[in-house]
Amino acid sequence: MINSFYEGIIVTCCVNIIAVLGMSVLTGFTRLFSFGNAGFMAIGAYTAAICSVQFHLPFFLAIICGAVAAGIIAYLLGSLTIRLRGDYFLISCLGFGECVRVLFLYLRNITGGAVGYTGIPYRTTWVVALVCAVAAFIIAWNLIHSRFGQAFSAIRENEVAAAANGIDVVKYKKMSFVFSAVFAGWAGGLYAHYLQHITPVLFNLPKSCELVITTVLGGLGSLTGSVLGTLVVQLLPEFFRKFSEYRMLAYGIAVVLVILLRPAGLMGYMEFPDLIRKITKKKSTGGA
Amino acid sequence: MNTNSNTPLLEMKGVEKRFGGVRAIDHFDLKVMPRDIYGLIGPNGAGKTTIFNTITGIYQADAGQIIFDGKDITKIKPHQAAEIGIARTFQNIRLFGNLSVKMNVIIACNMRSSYSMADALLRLPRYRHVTKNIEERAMGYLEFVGLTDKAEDIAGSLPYGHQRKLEIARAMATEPKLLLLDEPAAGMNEEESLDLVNFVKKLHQDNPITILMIEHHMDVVSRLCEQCTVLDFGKTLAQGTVEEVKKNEAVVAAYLGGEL
Repeated sequence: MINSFYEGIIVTCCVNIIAVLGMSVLTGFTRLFSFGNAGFMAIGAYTAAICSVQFHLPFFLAIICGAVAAGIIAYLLGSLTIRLRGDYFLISCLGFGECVRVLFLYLRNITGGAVGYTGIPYRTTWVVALVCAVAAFIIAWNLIHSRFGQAFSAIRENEVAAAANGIDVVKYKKMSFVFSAVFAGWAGGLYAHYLQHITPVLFNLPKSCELVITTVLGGLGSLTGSVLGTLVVQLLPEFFRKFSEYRMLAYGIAVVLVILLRPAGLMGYMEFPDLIRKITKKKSTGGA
Repeated sequence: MNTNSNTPLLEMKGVEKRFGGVRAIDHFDLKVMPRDIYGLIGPNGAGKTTIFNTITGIYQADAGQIIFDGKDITKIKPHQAAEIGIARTFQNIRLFGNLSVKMNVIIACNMRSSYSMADALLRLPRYRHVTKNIEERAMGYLEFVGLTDKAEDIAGSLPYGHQRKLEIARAMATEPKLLLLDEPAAGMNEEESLDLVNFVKKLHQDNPITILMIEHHMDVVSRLCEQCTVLDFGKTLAQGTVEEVKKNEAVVAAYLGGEL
């Protein structure tokens, strides 16, 4: 039906789109930076895998368990750290992500340690991945265009003014954090059921960085930008396989260029329909 | 809650706020009656904005008590102040700069709206109904301040005077009982501040609100306020009608000086 090379690309793209959409809500809309979301992916992946293998739960239930587990951990972590100022929050997330990875490495009896966790059934076909990515996009879109997402944007723009207009800043920041973790957990669960074998190193600090970089590259405050960013970050290395060792170097250069040339990212504060409207408007005024 | 017009809407009793060794406000008393337009005057650094920040819960008072609408609000949080009906504007305008003019007001309207997360994520009828309603209300506030044709513009790109009006529209959208205006005429020339006086008068006439305002321009204060308090270095110099205060020797010496 579709060869495994393309299936791999589609699944990887879709899984990353889900994780990046969560990141986008957190960073692009609420302006909270987390370098620990790979940790939530790991929690989702291992929880879903264990639910499938040990408890023989149906696939979709296992995925939900993974996402919920990531959400609960984010809620607990957020209760402790969300009041911290931006940079301290970022560092606490970074620490958390590394703790999760190391913990999964040491809990050999449960997670298989460095060797990894094997025997996960193959359930995430490209169709499942695609359906999930579309569903994730719709959920994120609806959230952002509701009073909850509008509260996130208000916090991003001005915390003091947001509070003065009745927005409980701590509550909404925590909500955004939990949302991003649930998406990361969802992505992790799907990924585990595609790879069939997961190791803690899949969810290391560079993975967290990749999620942040993709969000910034795609454009802060733009969900369509996040999808575009993910496609660029995931697909370009596929077409330049020979240079795949230089992946992180290329990311670094790309981020520096974006920050210098287009600080808001590819689609900063603009969704795809806005872009089309802007272009057609420019054309019509240019022609007149 | 209080129908008796003899009870103040806002009362501050011996409120004190210290920053390190500095007493930003010192034993401050204030009574604002319902439907008043009350002025707070004083030179820079007199502690006027600190009083606003203490009322709205941005700062916690170190001593004293603040009572609003019969309830003790001394230890309130900023978002709770908005919920119980205290809205404010800021001296250095704080809009949601990258969002549209309309969105600035919609966000304020959201506080009094009610639909659940499930309504929002699944776009249930309730979500559609409430958001449509909110949008209409937001446009109503924009119409009141004369920004209807700017609704889709980015708030940060508006000229200064319009930003001030948008901030007032946003504050009104939270449906307050008490509106705190922090130097609404700052940076305006004579003509613009006259325009503002008429605007605030109309705002007060058309809405059942009480206004407490900080203002430097004496002409604005005398045109709008009946009662006022003059502050200097955190201490109350004088309290009374604007005419009384203008004649007060301590006030003339400390602040008004040769201006009048």
